[in-house]
Amino acid sequence: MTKSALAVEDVTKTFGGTAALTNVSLRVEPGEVHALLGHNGSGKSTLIKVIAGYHRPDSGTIEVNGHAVRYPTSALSLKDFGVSFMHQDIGLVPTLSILENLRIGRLQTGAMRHIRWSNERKTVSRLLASFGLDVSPDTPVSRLSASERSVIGVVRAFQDVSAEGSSGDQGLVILDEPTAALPEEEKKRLFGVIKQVAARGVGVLLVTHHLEEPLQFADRVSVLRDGRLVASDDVSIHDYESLAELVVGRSVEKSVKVSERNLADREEIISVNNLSGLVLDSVSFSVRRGEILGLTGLMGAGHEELPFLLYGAQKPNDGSVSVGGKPFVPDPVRARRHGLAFISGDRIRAGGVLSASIAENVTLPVLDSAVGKLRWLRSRQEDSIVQSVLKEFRIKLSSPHLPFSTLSGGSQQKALIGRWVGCSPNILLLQEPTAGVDIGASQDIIAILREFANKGGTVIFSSEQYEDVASLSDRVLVFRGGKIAASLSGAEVTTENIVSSSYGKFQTAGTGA
Amino acid sequence: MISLNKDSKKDRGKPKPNSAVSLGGGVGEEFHGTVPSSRSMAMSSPKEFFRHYTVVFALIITIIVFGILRPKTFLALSDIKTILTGQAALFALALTLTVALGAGEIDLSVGGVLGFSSVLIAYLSSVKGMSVEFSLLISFVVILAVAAVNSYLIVKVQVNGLITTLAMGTILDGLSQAVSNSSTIGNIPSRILKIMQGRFLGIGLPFWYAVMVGIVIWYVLHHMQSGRFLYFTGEGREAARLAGIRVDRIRTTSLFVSAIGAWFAGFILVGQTGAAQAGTGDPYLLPAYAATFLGAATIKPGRFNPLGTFVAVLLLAVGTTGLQLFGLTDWVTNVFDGAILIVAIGLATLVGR
Repeated sequence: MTKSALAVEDVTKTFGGTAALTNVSLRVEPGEVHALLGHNGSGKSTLIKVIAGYHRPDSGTIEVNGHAVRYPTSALSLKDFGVSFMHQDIGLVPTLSILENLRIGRLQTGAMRHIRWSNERKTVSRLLASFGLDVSPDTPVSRLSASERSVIGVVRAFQDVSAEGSSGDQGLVILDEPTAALPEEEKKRLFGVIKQVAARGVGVLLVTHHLEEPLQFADRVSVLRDGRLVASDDVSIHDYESLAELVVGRSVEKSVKVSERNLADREEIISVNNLSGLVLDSVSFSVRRGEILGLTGLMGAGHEELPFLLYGAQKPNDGSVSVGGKPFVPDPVRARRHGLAFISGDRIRAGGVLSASIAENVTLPVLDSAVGKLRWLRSRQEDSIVQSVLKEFRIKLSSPHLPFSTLSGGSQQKALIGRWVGCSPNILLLQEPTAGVDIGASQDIIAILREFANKGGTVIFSSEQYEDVASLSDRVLVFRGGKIAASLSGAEVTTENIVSSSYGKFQTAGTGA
Repeated sequence: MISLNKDSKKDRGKPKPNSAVSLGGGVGEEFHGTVPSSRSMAMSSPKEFFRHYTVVFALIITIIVFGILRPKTFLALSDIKTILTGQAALFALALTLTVALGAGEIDLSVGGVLGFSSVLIAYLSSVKGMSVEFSLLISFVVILAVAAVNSYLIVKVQVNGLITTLAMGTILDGLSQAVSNSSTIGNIPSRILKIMQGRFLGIGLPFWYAVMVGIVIWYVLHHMQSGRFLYFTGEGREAARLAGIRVDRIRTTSLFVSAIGAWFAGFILVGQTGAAQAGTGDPYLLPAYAATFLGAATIKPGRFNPLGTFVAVLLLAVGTTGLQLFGLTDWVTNVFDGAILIVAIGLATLVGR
């Protein structure tokens, strides 16, 4: 009988008076992919921090690969036990090459301590090839797309425990939301690799929001709710609904398609002619008032760049746009005057300002209305704006004057969407509105956008969450290679159609796998 | 190894404001139905209160300590008036620098600008015999040109601002030597002396000018939309740009403000000392930074704020004066200012946690 890769026994952890974890026991066996599901605030991240030695449990024990974790512990000693983490922000150095990022700390040296670059390059090339990655080891990480970076991060986590783990190839890899930025195609490739490595005897703990992932890719699944483990089962006995019920604690239906809306008689609010820039190549389309247009495709197909270009966050190379019949040269300052609002998918850099307060972030675009005599900002006015946004969009917090960083990811996203909806724009442009947020927040966001459209607003959003695209959109433009490959509307808007048109001619091979 | 500390990715080397609830997972989140409208929420606990007023307490403690050790000399009212008057140039410089730092711009040329403007004013009015108005106007325009070059390079061409302004400061130091012929220019017209050597409530007028500048800055930064936009530009430039804020304009303006502040500080020095020479600005650079960074750790922790800067300049001034009363000479000032800058940055980091 081999030792468990991870054995959590009866762990309890409280912060102040709040119990974050109550008597949690969890085992990850070598060779299995074990998914850990849970809402934001379910204790998922606390558990990971306890395993990482960042928090000391109040009671209970943790063993990894048979070694008891003692507190305080260091990252280094965990490494010696054959544990590797990949956190959401991956932690790659952008200015260094893939090779350097992967091999730093374990470069082989020869005589006079020189680095054997050719050997290293071969090792890394082989590693990358085994993951189906067609990139040169010398590519700087800064040139990689977000999802390629995730892949490299996972590759690195694996090599840390598997390649030279030497001690009988046992190890534990903990992946915290590895797919947050990944489209379907990348997910499949990534999980293919994860399974392959698990098959070599490494235990994988996969922390995720996405209920489909354990169903498709994991062997076992555990669910945390309110700090307690409510299930730890073989995946085979579960389906989407049963997992959702465990996570949320009540039965939820998958967000359902609203009844088809007839928008043919509405006027066109925005029309785009031969827009080019970044990877986009002569894209033309128009959108009506009250319409929800989904933009999708495989990673890098160009759909994610369209809202960015339309808003003028970067200057398009060519083409013309008109809004409400008037020509519009994309530029963020002008865009606002034309009634456009943009919520970036890059939430860390271009979302809210984390160090500023929640209130300041929420009122930013609507500050005009709080300007009083002598241009003095009336704080009472500001407070009432904040209050109405927080209430309307059901954002939980203890004080609006705390930093924005104290909000959970889902609440941040709701606050950012809410603040723009609050200044009633004509057109809402969004990138990945539901990526990386928990299922509750994601349903709230979908409801907010629908409500906005029902009131006559136009929504244009890019997303690779195909199910969300299908359930939210009146019409979907599917991109391939910077061009619109398909336009789906009405009854054609289904997840299956979106996926198959994303893959284009490969559709039969792609959907079977 | 990848850090699991969620806070680490948010920290981009800048001081963070109060993160009393740091469990990003939402364990500490509680919905109250209605939002508490009081701004004091963030300062409800005594610990929070102390965090906001660390530097104020330090100032009070410093005064008490020196007051006990040297009761006669230190607590004499005239001494406090002398301190305030003597630090007027630093007040003006540090307060305007707060604006540039708030917008995320580090302007190291302010020392050079200060020195050059004082030499230029003295040279034009004394050596060249121009009228006071004309001397001030010309020096002002020259400094505007300097600010224009700084901001063109930093904002438009996107050159590293730290290096650009460091180089600009050195250029201006050289020009000051050229203009003054490396000697002291005296014989300053009495009208300039009058503007700067008058007193109100026993304190030199330059201090009051600086206070007025401070009030304007406080009003704009804390109570106007432009101030909010400025802080957002400094703390999240891309996010601010995508929210439709004209970040380039704000950055440019902030660099003009710091240059004009330095020009004014130079003007103050000429008037107070009745003379000008090259290199007078350099000793002001470090204290100005020490004060702004120390100020960012208090009143509104995590943000460069004028009130904090004001208190911090006072602490610097009281501290050095006190030490000098013990017979310690000039070198003390440098050691003290340098130490304060390090403490300030350390404090800002700790307070931000």
